[in-house]
Amino acid sequence: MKLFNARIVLIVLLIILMGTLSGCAPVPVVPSWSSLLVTRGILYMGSQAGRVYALNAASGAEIWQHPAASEKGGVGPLYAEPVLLDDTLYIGSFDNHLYALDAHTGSQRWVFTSSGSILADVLIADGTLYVGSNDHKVYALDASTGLKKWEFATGNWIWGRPCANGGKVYVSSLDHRLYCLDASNGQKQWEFKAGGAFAGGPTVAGDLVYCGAFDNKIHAVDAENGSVRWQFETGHWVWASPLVVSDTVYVGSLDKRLYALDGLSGTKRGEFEAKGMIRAMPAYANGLLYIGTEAGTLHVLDVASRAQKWSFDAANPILSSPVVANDTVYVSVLGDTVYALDAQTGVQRWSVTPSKRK
Amino acid sequence: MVEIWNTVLFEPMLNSLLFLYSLLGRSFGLSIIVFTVLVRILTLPITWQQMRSAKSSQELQPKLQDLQKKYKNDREKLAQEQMKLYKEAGVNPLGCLVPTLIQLPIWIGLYQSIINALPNNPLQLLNLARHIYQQFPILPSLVPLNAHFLWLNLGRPDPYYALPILVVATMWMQQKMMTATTTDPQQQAMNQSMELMMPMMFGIITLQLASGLGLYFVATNVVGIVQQYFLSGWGSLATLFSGQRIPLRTTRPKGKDDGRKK
Repeated sequence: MKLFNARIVLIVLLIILMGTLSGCAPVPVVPSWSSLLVTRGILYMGSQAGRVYALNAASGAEIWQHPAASEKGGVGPLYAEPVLLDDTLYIGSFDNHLYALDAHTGSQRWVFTSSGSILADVLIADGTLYVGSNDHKVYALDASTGLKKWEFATGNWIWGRPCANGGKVYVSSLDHRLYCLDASNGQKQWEFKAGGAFAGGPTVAGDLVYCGAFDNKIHAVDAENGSVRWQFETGHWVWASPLVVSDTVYVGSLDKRLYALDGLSGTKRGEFEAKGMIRAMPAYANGLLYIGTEAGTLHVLDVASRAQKWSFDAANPILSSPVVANDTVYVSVLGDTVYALDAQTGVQRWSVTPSKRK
Repeated sequence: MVEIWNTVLFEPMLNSLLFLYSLLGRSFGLSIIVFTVLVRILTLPITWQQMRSAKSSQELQPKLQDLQKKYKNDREKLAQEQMKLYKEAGVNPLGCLVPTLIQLPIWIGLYQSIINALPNNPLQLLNLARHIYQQFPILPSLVPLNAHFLWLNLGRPDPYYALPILVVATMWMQQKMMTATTTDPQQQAMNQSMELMMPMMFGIITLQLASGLGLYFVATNVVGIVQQYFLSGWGSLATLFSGQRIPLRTTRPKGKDDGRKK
């Protein structure tokens, strides 16, 4: 017997390597953050497991889920915020489909299939749905039938919600470009190229379009011709869509700061340092700003005094926008737990993880 | 512990790959290849030591076998004599393991870098944001990277299985070159199983994981083949291509010297 068989040890090391590398491999189910819609007393949300839930906004009790609880598998993981038009709910999925569901029952009305995952939120304008896809295209669909009206190809994924104004649709893409399209036929009017990718959607207000990019800047461009009006540099990627309240643009950055900028000039009016990266657009209601962070803290700021009114620490990152309805703010955290908090005081009213409810 | 790993190994590797990506026409495949060559150059002294150690160990095999036969009933004495032999020959029996141990974190760090540099969903991209050096403005603006190289999507396994085959072939070649010719049937059988087993294991890894890692394996094997050629020539590979067969010894010669040509 040999004193030391180096080759056997080598094989053991390789087996360890195999195990380690396998552990590093991406998990088969793509995790996602769920986004919320609260309207008419009902909270709608997608989940990591690919189920859409309708919950009673007052209690968190489940009204329905899609696919039905009796069905074992879900659709693909859901990042997108559900949107409602009349009594139809629309939501895109990682499984390449955009689902149109009956808002009362959750039953499927129609489905549109693209060639890539649909992570972007849907925009509804004048009976038309506009949605971007990982197949690099933005689609205009008839809201009632799901039939395609037109499509426009960009150079990379589209993860942000388009915005529309005056017969034009503005689409941001991770190909570093912001496109202005004719809403009726998808013809390109102009494009603006930034120094980094656009992962969040643009916001249009007045004659300006605002959009944050991975060149760490917030860009304000002329809505008519795409010329740059101003740019503001932050310390990290700007992923969140800008929020415009009267003449102030509020935008969060992954540098953990929320910036308040003059909408016309881009001059900084103030900034707030949060506990973690700000990925999603803040919510505004009744003079208060609600800012979710990747550290799991929800900061609530009084806009007039620029002081923090209260904060709430959740167990997991807050990566989607909070939603305020009546006197309640709703926040979803990674892992699909939803918290309902008193919008003025932060006192928790209820929390629920629909996917774990028995 | 995770922070130390990220700061010392993962983040420098990830950002080096991104930096090379910006220099090499935004081809992530090319940046992996160039990065591999740079890593191999940096670890050349260790690799050289590993190769020399492996060669020396192989040269000692006949003497070790004689010792095993001589002290087959006295394990303690056998261990003493083996250590003595290693010491006299100036060979460290762990000499070929230390470099492998050093390379192991490099492989893991590189795989982590490839997977993280090529996110395919927002959560992975958010994770990447935590590790990119923001002080170099060019790096954050490169995202998302172009994952396509030749027929490969470097963030996913090769759908045509060509890369796993290349990994197996190049690793087998390297193994064959590293293995000294032997007339001992037991040693030959062991060598043959090793020459097949290692490449097959790496082939299976490549089959299942991101093809960027497979590209690294192929690149590192090719560099290894070149290095091995300059150290010991074609080794057993030359015998294979020349069609020569090594005669198997059925009985061991008696005495201290087993009669092998050195």
